[in-house]
Amino acid sequence: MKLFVTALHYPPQPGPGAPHNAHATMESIMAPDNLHLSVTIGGIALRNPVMTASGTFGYGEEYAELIDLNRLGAVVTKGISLLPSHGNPPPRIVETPSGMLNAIGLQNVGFERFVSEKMPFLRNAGAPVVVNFYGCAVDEYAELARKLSDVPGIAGLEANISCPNINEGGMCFGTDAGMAHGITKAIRKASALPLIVKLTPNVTDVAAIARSVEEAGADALSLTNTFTGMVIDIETRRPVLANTTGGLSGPAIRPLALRMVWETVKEVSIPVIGVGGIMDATDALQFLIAGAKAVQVGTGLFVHPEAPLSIMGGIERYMIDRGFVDIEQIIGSLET
Amino acid sequence: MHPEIFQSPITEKEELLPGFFYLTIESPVLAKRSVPGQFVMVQVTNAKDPLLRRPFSLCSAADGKVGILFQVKGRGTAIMSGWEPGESINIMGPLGNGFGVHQSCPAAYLVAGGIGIAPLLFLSTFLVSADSGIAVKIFMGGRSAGEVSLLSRFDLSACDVFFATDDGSKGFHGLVTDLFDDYVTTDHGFLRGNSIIAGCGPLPMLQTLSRIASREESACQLSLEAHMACGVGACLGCVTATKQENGFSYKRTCVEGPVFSGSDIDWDHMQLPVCRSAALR
Repeated sequence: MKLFVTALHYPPQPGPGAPHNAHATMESIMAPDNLHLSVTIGGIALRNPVMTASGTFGYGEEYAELIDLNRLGAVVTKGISLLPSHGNPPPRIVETPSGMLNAIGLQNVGFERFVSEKMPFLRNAGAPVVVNFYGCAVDEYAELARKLSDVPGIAGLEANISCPNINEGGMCFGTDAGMAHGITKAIRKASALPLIVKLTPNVTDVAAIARSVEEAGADALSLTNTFTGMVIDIETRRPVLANTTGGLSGPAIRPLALRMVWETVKEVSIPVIGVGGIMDATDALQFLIAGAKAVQVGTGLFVHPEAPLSIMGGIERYMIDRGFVDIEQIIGSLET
Repeated sequence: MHPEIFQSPITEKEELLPGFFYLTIESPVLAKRSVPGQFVMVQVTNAKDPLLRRPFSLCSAADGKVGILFQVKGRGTAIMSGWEPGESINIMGPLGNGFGVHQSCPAAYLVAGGIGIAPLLFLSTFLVSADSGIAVKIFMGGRSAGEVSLLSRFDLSACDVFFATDDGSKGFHGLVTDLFDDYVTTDHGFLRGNSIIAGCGPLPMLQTLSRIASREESACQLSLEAHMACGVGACLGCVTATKQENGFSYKRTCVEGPVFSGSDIDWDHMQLPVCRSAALR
């Protein structure tokens, strides 16, 4: 049943020769009162399903002049560690076809300065604050999760388990089902905050990792993190990134991430957040239809800081045009 | 600073030399807010490839218009070279910190390598039009007479201009930093102390300039170029190594820069990788 007749078209197409930003004309419309956009992710109530992705939105304040944070589903912070981290030497980024590689090396201000310098802004930003965090050992993850649990204003945690485990020869926590299980269990024990575990795509069977993380007590999953990649300068015959390899993000990875989300939602019963190359509402809707309960926008923010809002506008328009009244009608609605 | 995203029309496009373009863009709010040394992030296509915005130092900002001087170096600038007046472009700015020149400064020495002249042209215009009494001297380095002839587009009648070319086809035969070093070490009335040296160009050039400035006990402000993704300090992709009490730290070129004091830059950590620990992504 079609509830609304509207002159709005979806998706909006720039006219011939129209300049470079369709988003500029895609301001989010006010959702009619009976359009239900809210979702709950492992106990975190989101007014809409569009979040920012960790590492692309800083600590929120960086974008305060360019986007109304109050209208975001949630803000996910830059990954925090117990102690401040320098990060990797530059060059840290290089553009690739429809994407980019980064090897930032998780530079961050550390827990103490995060709480004293960054949380006061975030606490008043109006959107639920999800703190992404990481460590180099199980104990570090647990200690940091415990400390973050005592900080007022944090709605949930997102554990980045795509880190090398220094006690296991630097093997990435997230690439081994046993280690992923162990670390999730340790964090779960240390904190009662809603726990999202962010999975790495650099594995053979992401659904198997997802199951082990669910069994260990995670409330939700976000996937995917970046795909490890490399670019070589043929003149110098050196890798372009000082770190040699980096994480690939942007539209280039979207079909890969979407496939992994689709594979994972079939295997777990906890909510899955879709991440990977989402630039516009069409992209976001694909993840929702595949079964993601929410999405995160990352690299797309660099091009269009207001992308989360234009994506919400596009999702609302899609719902109105097709007579949907609740976002849940779209989530997992894939016809096969 | 107040960055904003503007949809602004190109009013003029000039090809100053093969591969060097000057775009004039009508953007009154941006022009009003911008100061020399600041930059903008320009979206080159809506087609997602090339994906990222491109950073450009502003070359001018006056009368409701901004000017961008660029050299075609890659896919982004190749697309931009095809833009024509009347087209509207998506431009975010102003971003970053500009140059800081004290009123009591007797002279400003602006040292450029190639396309690095862009922010220094804005600075020279600003200093001259501010009627500050500051003597402005420009040292322009490039490959050849052709390249340094870029400057003929601009009114530099109130400045002294010196040229250095790699092939000796115009002015000093050699590096612009050698030209500048000769200038300050021979008696040309170089004003030590309060004067300011400002530079923009390749990193090795800026490092040499910084050494000269510190030897001459003069302030040195360098506009650094870096690959950027966000331009607003969120992605940490564009960092510059700076000296700290106990070592160094990586500062964001887009926010804490792009203009840095030469004495703050930790050159060792700019050139040599400090650690090879696996990136944590």
